[in-house]
Amino acid sequence: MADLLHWEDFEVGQVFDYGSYTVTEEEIVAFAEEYDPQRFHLDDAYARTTILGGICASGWHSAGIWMRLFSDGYANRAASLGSPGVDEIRWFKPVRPGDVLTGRSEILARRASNSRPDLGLNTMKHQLLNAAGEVVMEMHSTQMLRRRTALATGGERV
Amino acid sequence: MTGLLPEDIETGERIRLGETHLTRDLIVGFAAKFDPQPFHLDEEAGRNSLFKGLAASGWQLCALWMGHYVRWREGIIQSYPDPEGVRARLGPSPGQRNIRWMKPALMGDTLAFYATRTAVEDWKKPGWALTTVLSEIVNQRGETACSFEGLGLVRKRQDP
Repeated sequence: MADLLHWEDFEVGQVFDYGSYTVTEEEIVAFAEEYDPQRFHLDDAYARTTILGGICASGWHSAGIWMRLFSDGYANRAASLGSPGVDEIRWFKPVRPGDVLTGRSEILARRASNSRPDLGLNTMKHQLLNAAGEVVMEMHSTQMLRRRTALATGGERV
Repeated sequence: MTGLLPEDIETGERIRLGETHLTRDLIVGFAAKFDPQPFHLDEEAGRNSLFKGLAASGWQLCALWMGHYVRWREGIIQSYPDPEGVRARLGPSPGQRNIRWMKPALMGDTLAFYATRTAVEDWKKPGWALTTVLSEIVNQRGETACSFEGLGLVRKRQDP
């Protein structure tokens, strides 16, 4: 836990690229069986007859894959306290078996917590990209981080 | 009764889709794969976090809601005279808005899942409608733990 990044260590405009995740058909089907059993997430032959043109991952599976990349590449390296929410999440492209996905995040804004002097918040844009560099999923969220120095004891105010 | 095709949806009806009891295995199983932050993996780390207990990943709550919604839809499809035809008319989701995790969902909680279709409008692609669904997840104390507004494409009724 020695060198976790705290809220003060970030600045607006910073961009992080992280991780790599190879998607398999087995995993797409296993996730869908438990959490999103629509037939175009389970059966490739059927999916080819639909608007999706072939089997693809549940959007919530894509969100989970992004979260895994973000946890390993960012959240678990920071004094992260979770997130109160996501303003918008959009799925632009189907995620297919064999896709190699990476994550990218940018800090759009920072502010101190109104209620907790030991917390700060970052507003971030997150993207999940495929190997062709296409954005398959994008969202805007708020991340809560612990401050290195609480406001009351002279911390930086934004 | 409210239905699945755009022409059959009655907006405003709050539908109870089902419930899920959050066990340690369910929370940790998802978190180990998709959200391996300490407060989703370990009870003590959870107790020491803002959540005050082993908390389910917010993404798992969304995914659990989806499972309930899809199974509820499947139940209605079974009651249509042409199950294959109706099933083929369901489409993907372009996105979700305003995902809010208001309360932690902790090990031992029993969550109820609700859907309210709030709008049905024409989509840019002819033959398809865009539906808006308010999703709500409520714990056993009646507190809303999570809510979001989902968009989904639904094929319009087709001429025979």
